[in-house]
Amino acid sequence: MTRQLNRQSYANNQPFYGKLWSKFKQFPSGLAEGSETGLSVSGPAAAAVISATIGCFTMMVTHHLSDTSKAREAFIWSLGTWIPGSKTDSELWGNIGSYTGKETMLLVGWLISWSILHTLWKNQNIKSRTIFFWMFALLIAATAMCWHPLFPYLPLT
Amino acid sequence: MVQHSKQDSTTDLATSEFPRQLDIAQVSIYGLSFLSAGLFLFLPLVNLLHPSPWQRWMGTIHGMGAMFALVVMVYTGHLAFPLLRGAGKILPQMRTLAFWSTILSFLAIATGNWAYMRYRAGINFGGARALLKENSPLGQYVLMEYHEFSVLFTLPLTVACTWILWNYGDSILDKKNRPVLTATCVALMAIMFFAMGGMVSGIGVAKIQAL
Repeated sequence: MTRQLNRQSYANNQPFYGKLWSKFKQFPSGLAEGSETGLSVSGPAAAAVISATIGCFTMMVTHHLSDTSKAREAFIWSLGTWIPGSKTDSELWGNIGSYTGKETMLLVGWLISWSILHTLWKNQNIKSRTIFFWMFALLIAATAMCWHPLFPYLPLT
Repeated sequence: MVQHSKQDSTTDLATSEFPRQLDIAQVSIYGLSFLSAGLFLFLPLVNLLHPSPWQRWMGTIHGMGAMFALVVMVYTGHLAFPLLRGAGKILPQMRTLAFWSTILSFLAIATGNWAYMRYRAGINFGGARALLKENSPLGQYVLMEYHEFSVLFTLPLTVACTWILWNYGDSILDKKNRPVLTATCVALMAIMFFAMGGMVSGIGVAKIQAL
């Protein structure tokens, strides 16, 4: 049973625009209330956060693989053709290109790792060191990988 | 609500007919805040004056989508600091703000994908990417490479934060869930960071070469 916080006194004694703003901030109300039976172990949260960063890292690894080989780029592009605009015949309009394959790999890496980690950790407490190490390491690595040191000298795309 | 200073206040230097200093300060702060926010939100509409028709409509639509996403994500990121300190009364709005951040992140990415098509048009058709690589390769490498990828990080992170904030309910503030609360708040701050970086790099690229 979760602790229900007393928010009634906060809502009272406000002018009409304050009440309107409060209602706006808590829309949709079903979401604002949160779950009645809150989770009590850290495993599901760890799975959610770490899998998000795994998705980002997967996309950046894919970006590097794509930009260093024309054959790999063609394959990665083929993975993203389900996204509208991935391929067009118009040089005027352009197309999104292999970027769609990289976006697809973000979704694949994120959702698959989330389902695996959630299944493994749903009833466990995960060490906070584990959560923060992987969260920071993967996110920092993904951010740094936006700039490959060789890309300006490897004009493959 | 207007605050009334005391009769013996040292900040009130004039007689009682003159408005109180604190009231003037408060009205000035509110006025400047609204003016600043209004001018900032007006920024994407500047695209409507651009000579390139592509920039006029794609730039305006993607600019509006990105601006809405930025405002909500930065607002949410700022509230992550009091939430980290255990301010329970903002929990309901944190859940809805994380949810709306997710929706707006998706919309900003979707409109960005659309504008990215034209960005990759051929050089003979005025494609921005080809012109940037020709005329400002460092701008393309530093700004656009970062812009393309870092803004996508916001989508999985906002989904994760929304999921955690809803599923843990009010018990996220319990002592045993402190690592969960901290990880969620840090993720919200990271979202704010990537949203701001995305806006700055996006505007930077558009300033060097329009669509």
